Amino acid sequence: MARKTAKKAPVIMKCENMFCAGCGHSIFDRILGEVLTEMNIIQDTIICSDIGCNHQFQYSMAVDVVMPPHGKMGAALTAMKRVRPNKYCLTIAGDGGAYAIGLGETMSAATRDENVTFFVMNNTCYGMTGGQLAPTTQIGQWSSSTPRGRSIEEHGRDFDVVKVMKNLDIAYLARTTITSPSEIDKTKKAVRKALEKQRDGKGFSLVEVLVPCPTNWGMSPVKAMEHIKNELVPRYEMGEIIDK
Amino acid sequence: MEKVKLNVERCKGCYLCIENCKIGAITMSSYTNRNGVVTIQVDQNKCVQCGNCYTMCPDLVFEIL
Amino acid sequence: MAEILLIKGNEALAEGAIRGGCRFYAGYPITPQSEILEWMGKRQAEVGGVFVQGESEIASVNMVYAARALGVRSLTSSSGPGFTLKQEGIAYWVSAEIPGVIACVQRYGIGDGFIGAGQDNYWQAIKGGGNGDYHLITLAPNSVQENMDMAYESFELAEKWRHPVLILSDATIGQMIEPCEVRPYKEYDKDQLDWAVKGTPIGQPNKIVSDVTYIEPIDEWNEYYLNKCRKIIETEQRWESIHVNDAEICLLAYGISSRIAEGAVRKAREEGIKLGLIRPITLWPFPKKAFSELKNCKALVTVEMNMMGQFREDVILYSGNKYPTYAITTAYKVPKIDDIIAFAKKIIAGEIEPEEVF
Repeated sequence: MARKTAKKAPVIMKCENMFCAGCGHSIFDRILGEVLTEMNIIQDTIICSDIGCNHQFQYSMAVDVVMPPHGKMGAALTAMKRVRPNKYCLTIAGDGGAYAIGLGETMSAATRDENVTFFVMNNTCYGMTGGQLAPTTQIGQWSSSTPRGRSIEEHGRDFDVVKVMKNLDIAYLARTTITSPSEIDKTKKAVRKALEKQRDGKGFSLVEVLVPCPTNWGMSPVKAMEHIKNELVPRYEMGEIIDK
Repeated sequence: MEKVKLNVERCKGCYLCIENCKIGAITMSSYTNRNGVVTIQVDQNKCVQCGNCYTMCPDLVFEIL
Repeated sequence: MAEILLIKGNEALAEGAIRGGCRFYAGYPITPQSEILEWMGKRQAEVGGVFVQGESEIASVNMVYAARALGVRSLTSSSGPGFTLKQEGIAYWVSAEIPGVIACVQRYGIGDGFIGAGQDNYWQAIKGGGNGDYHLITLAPNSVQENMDMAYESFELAEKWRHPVLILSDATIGQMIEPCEVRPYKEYDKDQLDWAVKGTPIGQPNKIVSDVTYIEPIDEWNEYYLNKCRKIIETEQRWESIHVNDAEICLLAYGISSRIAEGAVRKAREEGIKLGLIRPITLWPFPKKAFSELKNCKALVTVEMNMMGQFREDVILYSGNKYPTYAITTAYKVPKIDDIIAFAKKIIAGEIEPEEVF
């Protein structure tokens, strides 16, 4: 059972992060940091930051960053990759940034099959502004702007990136979560695979990660992980959906 | 023998480590860190170095030696 | 001998940018600036640059943000409502000190408006347009040659200050064909700027190109930024003066209106009327130094293609409100020389109505 190699923070994680206790972003950032370190591509990586809780990776990770307006990562990554095709150009996005205000840019980058990578943290709400309705907020779920819970009549149906992107000619589409060590391993494999697709010039890759927002869900971090396992995972198609 | 090194000053008190330590080597400690968080402790004798605590910890508290 | 092309204003602007080292262009079709997009679609491939037709103006302006952050000289262009859509992105350029260049080929009207010429983007172009305290360094060409030359120089100007440059052209200048001397190609290495993001190995300080809100101590940054703007105002004022010293009535006009105003000055002088013209070449910084050339002036008159006298407000402000200041506003019509002279005669005769303020 014991691991042979030491497990410690990858060198890219330069200091403590600024996220809330039990936040999914901080776990994902470390996973990404491990992959960038293991692939030895930190010096060749430029991360396009979204605006929202997710942007706080830039305070704790020693990596180059470009931060355009909220949600415009699809456009910015397109330009970044085309002017420096030898760099890995990726974003750590929020579901609000990638699927609401930036849906046009995200979809346009995907339909053009730009050789860039999206990691979208789906926590079913706008975390930084206080847990308002996001496209991904589930039917029946409370949010601070839908105090009676989301209903189809009042707020419309929720957004599922897999349903939207399933038939696109893109290189990689996966949905994972981080609720347990084994799920984290799957996420790490998906992160690596997405970046390998970019390395090999295969085209657009997107990994959606179901992450907890204990603060805005009003749950303890442990309960928030259980909520993902019991409430979100059963509603979603999980795993690798496109792998070309 | 020390099997896992801790930096409990980073702990924010999510306790995902306790939840995911399958052999129960991690428990609450009586120490409150500078963040005002009641932190955790590891029974080094019980620890099997599975790495689950490192993997689940959002705050890089653990280093498996 | 220099190469002379007979070329459209928009094409000259695009070619000037290419010659000036522009190796990234993103834009979206909108009349009357689409020739810039089309020219770039052809030329970037020929010079080893990148052309992207964005899915919107919003995407295009942010593509330029990102390409410029990675070191490449980059341009976008638009007109009317398309220029409006780019304002958020431009505010981010300013905040992140991205020396991007944007060309606005003004068209007339509110909202969608019309596809013909106008000069009613002045307030939006000069007074910010996006949120926060900023002006763009704004160049106002009045010929096809200046479209080329200003685009050619714009990247160095923007880099000098790490501040965006706006080329405020208009539909008339953009669509007309004139002889134009072509400039030699400038060499530019996208790796030459130390702030540009290129990827950093572990152990060296990583680079963040971001809205300043997140990375700098705000009081220090504010002071630095204001001082930068003061230096731009002191250093970069440009204008052209025509018969200003003895002018009794001094016209102020930029862009296509300044061509007509210049004609009016020459014709009026033949009739013995002492007209002069201050033609701002930079609209921000406003060339307020030009007013010191006035010795005998009784009134200022702006000539501008809008309804409300947008440019007049700044002329009052920057001249210290020392002269009665009128506006000849012609909306979507290019002004006429005889109308300008008739207006000047009315002022001299004391028959002019007080100016409306909207």
